[in-house]
Amino acid sequence: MIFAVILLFIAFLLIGIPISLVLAITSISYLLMADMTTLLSSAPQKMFSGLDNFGLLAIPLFMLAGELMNGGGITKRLVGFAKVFIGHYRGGLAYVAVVANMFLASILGSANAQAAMMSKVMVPEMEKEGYTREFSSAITLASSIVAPVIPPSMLFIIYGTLTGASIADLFMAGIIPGFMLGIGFIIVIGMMNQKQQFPKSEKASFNTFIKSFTQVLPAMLIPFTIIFGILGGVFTPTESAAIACVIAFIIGFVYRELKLKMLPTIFVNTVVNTATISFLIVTANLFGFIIAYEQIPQLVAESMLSISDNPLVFLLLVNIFLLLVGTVLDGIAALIILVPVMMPLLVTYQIDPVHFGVIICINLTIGLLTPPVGTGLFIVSSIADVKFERLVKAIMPFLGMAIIVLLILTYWEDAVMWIPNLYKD
Amino acid sequence: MNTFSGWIESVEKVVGMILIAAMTLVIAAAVVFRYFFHSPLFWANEASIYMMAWITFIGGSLGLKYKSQASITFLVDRFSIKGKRILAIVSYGIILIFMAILLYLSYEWVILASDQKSTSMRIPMWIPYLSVPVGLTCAFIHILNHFVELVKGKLQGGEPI
Repeated sequence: MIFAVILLFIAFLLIGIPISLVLAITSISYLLMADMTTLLSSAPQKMFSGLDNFGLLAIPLFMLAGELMNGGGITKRLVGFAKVFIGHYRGGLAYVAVVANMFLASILGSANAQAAMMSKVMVPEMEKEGYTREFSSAITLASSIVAPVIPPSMLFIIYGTLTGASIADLFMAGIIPGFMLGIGFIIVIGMMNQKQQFPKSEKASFNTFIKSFTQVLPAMLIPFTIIFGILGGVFTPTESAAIACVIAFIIGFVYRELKLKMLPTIFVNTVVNTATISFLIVTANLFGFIIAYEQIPQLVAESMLSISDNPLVFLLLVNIFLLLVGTVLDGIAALIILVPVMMPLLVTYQIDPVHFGVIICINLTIGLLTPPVGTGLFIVSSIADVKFERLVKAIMPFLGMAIIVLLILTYWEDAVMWIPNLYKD
Repeated sequence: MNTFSGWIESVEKVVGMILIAAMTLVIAAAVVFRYFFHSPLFWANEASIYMMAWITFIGGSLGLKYKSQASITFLVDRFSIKGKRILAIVSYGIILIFMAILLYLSYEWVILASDQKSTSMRIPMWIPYLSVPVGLTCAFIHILNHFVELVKGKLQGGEPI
């Protein structure tokens, strides 16, 4: 019977029913077919209890902070700031795209949102200085994947609430990997710079330097509050998100770009975007119950162990599997569905849940860059008006680098765990 | 039908706005009270989790109205306009049937739980629980509206569900 349910699940997904509803529909049909009336009547309870987690509240709060900062005109200030200190090198603006993305990643937690914001500002600016539109879009999109790696991060929050791993630890564990991705992209640009001569901007005067620095300074209060607030044990990630909202709200008015009449739209966007994630968590919680009842995780664990009992082989297989899943399934949905199935394996292979979380979150974020269903590719190709196929071609070197960094992080646990271990001692 | 769905949408938007603003303020206030006044707001976590439940189900309903929930489209994209239309009608039909079942289950659940009280605020549990049936009812109306428009031929059916 579980076989019939799996077939239904795949069929419903393929005809285009939203993933969140597919999870609910297959769970209900399973309970009906198995004639489990008691469990059926507790289905709403199972759904509701998926939300009973304070950590989850960080999702709407960080989204709200991001929306407020976006309305507050942060992107162009960050780009302006990155430009005055590296813009005058050859290929300067390409490096600016990476560095500004890393700054923005310390305020936002979603790669899609960040790719949308950055490509609006960065692509026209790069085109003006003589870069091709494909290349400008590709570098902007590729470096936006640091958003969920450098704290704050939606994916880490979701992973933490699903597994019970500390969200604070995950945030800290993402710092070095985020920098490694950024440096990786800078190396790719440097290598391309050897072959083709990229343009450079004029060197900024000292006054412009000071001016753009003071413009960016208030915005940098947000990452400062988040990281040191959590490190110092002043507040939890969720509380840091609420404080970030308050700061973002004030900064928006300091910059004179946030207007009161923008607030209703900002609030509604936050509610709808939050629910696309949290509604999925709700129905996945019901679905996860069926998965556990049918002992699917145990089955997966047994078949994994029959292939290899070496954790390094296991991690390689997981990476390959998730990269493939990421090409057709939205990263957040994949995370919510697959993590509960994979968790029991971590004990078997003695893998740290925080290290594992960083690996799978980076892996699924890379899925934003892979055709046919890379959501990042669609967002940027429509905003920057680039042909999808051309963007796919231009993103390849960066995609390759992202996968190399992923593999390094998979096998070099210390790079991930160094900061979280540091602040525990 | 369309106007009714639109009317519900505007109510949902207003409620959602108030909830998200209130939730942010409650959590921020909780930090201030604990850290500066050393008197934690004992009800803050529970209240904000319940607001999150309402945000989830109302926002989920709005997300279905705006067709912004993630779905797999690479197969559907390969169909002709007519094929997409048929697939969409079938999908909406399936969704409506199961949503009706879920609606029945959730109303029954709220009624059964009506005399439970929450752990820290001691409010009746139907207040947070009601988010499930209310959100699903709104979602049902939005989906029914899409379905009717599609069958009447007003929507092309080429867009995702």
